[in-house]
Amino acid sequence: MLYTIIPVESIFESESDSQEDVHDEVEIGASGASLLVHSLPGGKYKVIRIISTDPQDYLNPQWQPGTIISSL
Amino acid sequence: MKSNERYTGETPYEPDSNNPHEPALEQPIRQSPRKQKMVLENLKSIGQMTSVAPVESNTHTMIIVGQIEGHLILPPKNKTTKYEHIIPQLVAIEQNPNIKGLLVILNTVGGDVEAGLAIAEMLESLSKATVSLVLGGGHSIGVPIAVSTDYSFIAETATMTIHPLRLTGLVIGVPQTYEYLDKMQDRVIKFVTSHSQITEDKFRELMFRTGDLVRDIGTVLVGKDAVGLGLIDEVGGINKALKKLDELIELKTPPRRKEPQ
Repeated sequence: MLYTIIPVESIFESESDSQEDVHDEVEIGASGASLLVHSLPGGKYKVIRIISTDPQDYLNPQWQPGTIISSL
Repeated sequence: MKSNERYTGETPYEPDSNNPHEPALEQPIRQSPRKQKMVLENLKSIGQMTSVAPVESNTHTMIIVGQIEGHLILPPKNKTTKYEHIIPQLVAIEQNPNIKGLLVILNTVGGDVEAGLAIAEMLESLSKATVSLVLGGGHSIGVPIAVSTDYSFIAETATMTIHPLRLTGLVIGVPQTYEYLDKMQDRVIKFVTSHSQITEDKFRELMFRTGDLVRDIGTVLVGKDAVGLGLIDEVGGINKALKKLDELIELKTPPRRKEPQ
């Protein structure tokens, strides 16, 4: 059950009008944190979001959103 | 990041073994193309040039943004904070002896009742010092999470919406549905009133107030109002929140109940 100020209609609005490429997003484990990444051709990933409770992880230059990483 | 931005594959990422935390501003002229590209990517993505060198910290932070996602996976266009991320993180924080405190930053529109209550219960039962900070918004199920910590802050401009639980688009046909809804609502009310200074009567009054919200019942509390009603402990920002967290860590045994301001 949802308890939110956002109307249910807008939460479950048809996806056709949202063109975000979110389907390609995958979560990968990094040392001590998780990264939400966007797969790119050639086995590379672009960092979208960091999932961690350590504030220092967000300052890691290799994990900045938008950074291209090849592997971990 | 826009999806139509193409990655050209010209500059693959290579870790800089010499000095990974070197601030880009120190060498404004002689920058390698790779570094320039990285800086540019940073600028495009987070609107920031460079990162600060890391410092050891005994406090961790948990950022709860967008919808709190629980039993139901929401369509991808919703920004969500997932229950399955938060709960293991809290377990890890509780187990890690190096972590002394946790700062919970809320900017949420609400979400799944059970996931929200689960996070609130986890935070409440955490033995480490906990401080919450409501920035932007801490609406609906964000309210019990905000009050679950040892001490709570709200930014002056942040708002909290208190409104009844409802099943949108569903006509309540049988009394059982209404009772179920009422029970869920009671769980939220009980949690909030037992972990903050607000009384149950007052909270219910705010929840069912008419005329405050356009086309709906409920109340929007802005910064000071939430503190005035005893829902949140203090108006403040990151500096106050971290200072309070340090104080609570100092005390070693964080108070389970909140002292009146």
